[in-house]
Amino acid sequence: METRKTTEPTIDGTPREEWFAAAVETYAEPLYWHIRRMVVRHDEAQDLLQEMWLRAWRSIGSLRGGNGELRPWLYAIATNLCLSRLKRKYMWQLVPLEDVGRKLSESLEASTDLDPDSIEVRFQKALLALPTKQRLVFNLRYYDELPYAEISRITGMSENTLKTDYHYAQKRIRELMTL
Amino acid sequence: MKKFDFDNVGKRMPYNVPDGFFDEARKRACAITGDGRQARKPQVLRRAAAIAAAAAVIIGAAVIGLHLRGERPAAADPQQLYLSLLADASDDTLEEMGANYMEEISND
Repeated sequence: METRKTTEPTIDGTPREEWFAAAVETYAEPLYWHIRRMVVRHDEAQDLLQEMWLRAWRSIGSLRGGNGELRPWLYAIATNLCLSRLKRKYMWQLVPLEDVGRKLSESLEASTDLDPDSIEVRFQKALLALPTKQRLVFNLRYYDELPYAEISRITGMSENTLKTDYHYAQKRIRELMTL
Repeated sequence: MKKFDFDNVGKRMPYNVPDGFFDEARKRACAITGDGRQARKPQVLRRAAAIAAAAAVIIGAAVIGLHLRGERPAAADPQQLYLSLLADASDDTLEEMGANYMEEISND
């Protein structure tokens, strides 16, 4: 008697569950830090990280290009979740998304054991003083060292705009850190 | 004044992370694939939320209708009517609605 073969979904030939586990192993930590840098608080970052994995698993079928597209795809999901959360959180206080960094700076000192005058804290405060999208670009380039082409795929911004944003972010940070 | 040098701070960040967090985070993430119920939760939540929303609209319309006719609704307030309808919802549905509230908001 003939039996029907069911084909297990794969990505690049690897069963989905295995592929997902490998993605988690590789990207859990960098993605957590990317999210944390955007939202500052650990509890928010933890929540968003898990939400990101849930969305990634549910929409895994939409990933085209297999492993080559994985990193920008995951970063795009994480970034969009961060921006949505920040927008929603501060909407009621009539704080536009671009200005939420100032509000986040208030919770920075509660998220660290370091002295408020330490260079690490001052540096993060300088980053938080940037407009949100500029801070995002800076983080992806400076901390994650992503190429501009990849940041462009994550943010939807052109490479020229990204380079300009990064240049102005560096300039502004130098000014703030030199004060 | 001396210009700031990014090498002075490098990639150091001031943030605290609880011990063992990353191992735990990886386990929680991988549990998503093995727990089909968790992956389906948002659909159940959407159905339950849709039913609750429809109930709220019906109750609201009924209360407004009664008010316009100069009659007081039997219940003390519309929320009591809403809650009494939810009382018939299963424990699983209620538990999922409570536990996944933030997820529903971020799905907007």
